[in-house]
Amino acid sequence: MRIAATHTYRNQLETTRRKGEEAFEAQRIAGSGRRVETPSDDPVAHRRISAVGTYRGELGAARTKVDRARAEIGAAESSLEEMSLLLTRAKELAVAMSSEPYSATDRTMAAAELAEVQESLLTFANVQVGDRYLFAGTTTNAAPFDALGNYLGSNQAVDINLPQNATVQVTLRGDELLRGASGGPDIVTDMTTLVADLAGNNSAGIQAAVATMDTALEWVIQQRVEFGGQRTTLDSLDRYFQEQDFALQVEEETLRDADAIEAYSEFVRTQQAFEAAMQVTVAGRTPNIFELIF
Amino acid sequence: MGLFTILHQSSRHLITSAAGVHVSSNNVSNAHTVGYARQTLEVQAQGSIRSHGGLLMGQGIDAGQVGSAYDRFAQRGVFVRTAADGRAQVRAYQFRAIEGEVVPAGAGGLQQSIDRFFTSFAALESEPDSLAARAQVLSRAQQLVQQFHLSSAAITRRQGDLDAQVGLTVQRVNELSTEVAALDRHIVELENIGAGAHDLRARRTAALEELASYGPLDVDEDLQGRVTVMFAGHTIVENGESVGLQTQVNAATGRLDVVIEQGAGLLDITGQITQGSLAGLVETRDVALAGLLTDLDQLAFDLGTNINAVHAAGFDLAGVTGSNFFNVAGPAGAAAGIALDAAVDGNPQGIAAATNAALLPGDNTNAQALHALGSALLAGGGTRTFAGQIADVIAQLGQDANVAYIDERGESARLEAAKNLRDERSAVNMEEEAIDLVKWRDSYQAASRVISTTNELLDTLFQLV
Repeated sequence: MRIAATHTYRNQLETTRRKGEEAFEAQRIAGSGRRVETPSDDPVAHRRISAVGTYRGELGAARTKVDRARAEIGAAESSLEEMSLLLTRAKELAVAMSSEPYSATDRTMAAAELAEVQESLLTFANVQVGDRYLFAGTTTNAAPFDALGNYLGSNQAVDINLPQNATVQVTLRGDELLRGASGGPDIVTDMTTLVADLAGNNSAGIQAAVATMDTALEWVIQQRVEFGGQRTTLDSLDRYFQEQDFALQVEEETLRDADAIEAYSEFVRTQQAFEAAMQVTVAGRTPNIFELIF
Repeated sequence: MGLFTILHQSSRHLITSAAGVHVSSNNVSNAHTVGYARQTLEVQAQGSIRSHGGLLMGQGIDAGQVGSAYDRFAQRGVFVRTAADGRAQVRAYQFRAIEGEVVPAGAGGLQQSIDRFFTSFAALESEPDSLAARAQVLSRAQQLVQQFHLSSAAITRRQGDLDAQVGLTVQRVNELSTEVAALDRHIVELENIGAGAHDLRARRTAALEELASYGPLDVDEDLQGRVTVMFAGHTIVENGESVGLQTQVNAATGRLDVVIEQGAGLLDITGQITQGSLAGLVETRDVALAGLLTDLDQLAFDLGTNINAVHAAGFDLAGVTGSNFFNVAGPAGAAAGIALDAAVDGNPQGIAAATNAALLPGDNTNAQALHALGSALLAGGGTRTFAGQIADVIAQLGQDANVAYIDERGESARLEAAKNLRDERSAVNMEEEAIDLVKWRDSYQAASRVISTTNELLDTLFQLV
């Protein structure tokens, strides 16, 4: 085979260029730690990384919703606990004043105390997290109860949707809780009646109120358990989302990142190959025949 | 056969040896000249005459023609591979530009903007009456709109750049065809009077090689040394005359087509340019980038119209219904034109997060529905989510880019092989030239020695007189 001058130089040029390109690519990977930076680096991996990124974003948003819901449900739960303590006191008053030894004066004083208990009950029913009222249904921008215990909220609670087809209720309807909607006791009316019976020294009414206060207390405790029980669900979901996110993060890094040792070894190899190519270029045309002959 | 005949013979020997050195020197000088084919000196023996003594004596040598080792068949192979390489180089370069500039993947890219837009509805779902949550939705929506605009503008700008490059390339093709035609005329003139025109042929070959890098070339040479050059199957050089290509705006696309005069009209030959850098430019402009823009437009249109459909069915904080979220028309031009509707632009309260005005402001069911659009199969003809669709487009882009890069390396290697094959026949080998120089040097020295010996003989003769 006849080797022309252009053969040699073209070969040297192509070899040096190819080795330079490989060295540059290895340097990029070793320096950045990233195997996949552009779609063409690995289209299939890049596509999967994109999908993982989307789902991790959704999980992040879901966990934010969970945190918010936990705060609201926690606040509602605390409020319901206070309400149950207040109703316990109301029941104690009813039990105590229903027995004969107490005078009309005692019952009048008990009526005043019960009125304060009722007022406190309504205060807890108007609890907020930030500027959202938790017992107003969807009318979250206004207090659900006025001073007389009239319900001003809506007849729809607020739900949030989470991945895994989970739905969590984050507000309660105050009318269901305290005003007898959906078959529950009308606690506000019952307390108002008891206050009137105590003030009017109505023994029969007071005796009957023992059972209604007991029903009211059980109702509020039941609401607290059911509503607060969602926290367990939220905690479980949050743990699941966290585990999912971690697994996805590992998958993303596995797909995207280069193995550090492998990347460095490849970098060293390609650098050496590039240097060797350059040295061959320098040595390739020495000795020059013209220098030898002439 | 006298002493003076010997002198005359030796002088021709000197001249021939000098010519040999000249040819070798020219070869060495042009060893790396593009298009140059190694030249050789044909040396002819001058026959014999009968001397006074009746002996048959040779007449020495004379320099004949300077020949060329040009191999048209090997050169044709180089033209073909040059055209293929030209296309591959341009495509690879343009894909690198597209990947890096036109659709930036990863942080800040279109896909991430879509993801962040839909997750902002998740926050709104938790706090539908929060102005901060609503403002975040608008902010993310604005980022998404901006990303559509940037991507669309980058594609359109690159198409414009490629258009300009098509124009410049056609201009260069015309310059080269004019040059080839002029060289052709000069070559024929010189060779008709018996003068060598190898160096002009080398220039012509160089011009043709460059021409081949722009498009598919076919070169035919007749016995007179004239070439007929066909570019994409149409004659651009014939009988020493050139025919220029032109560009013309395509009424449908607004982009440049490559045309040539045919009869009274112009013939569009854009589709016939299947190789060369022109093919790479046109393919990138009209297939890769146009396809990408169509996909972006369709995505913007699908996303905008689906968001609008759900949004219009909901109620904003003021109880207003029937409002759009995006202003979008199309699909053509949707990516460039999409914007926030006046109902929500700068008006967070205008976002319809509720489906029942009676349940305001806490009703979040429309926010839930808007959020759910992010995971619904509403793009790609109902087969993909919006984020999935753009991810698919980007992945396909990556795949196409990969193929282009592999093609680039492959064509480069094939071109190198074709040139090596040609050079094996036609190019200069330094060792051969060095040895030729030694040969002609020794020949010249020998001829000089003959002259000096003959001179001594003449001196001896004159002394006798």
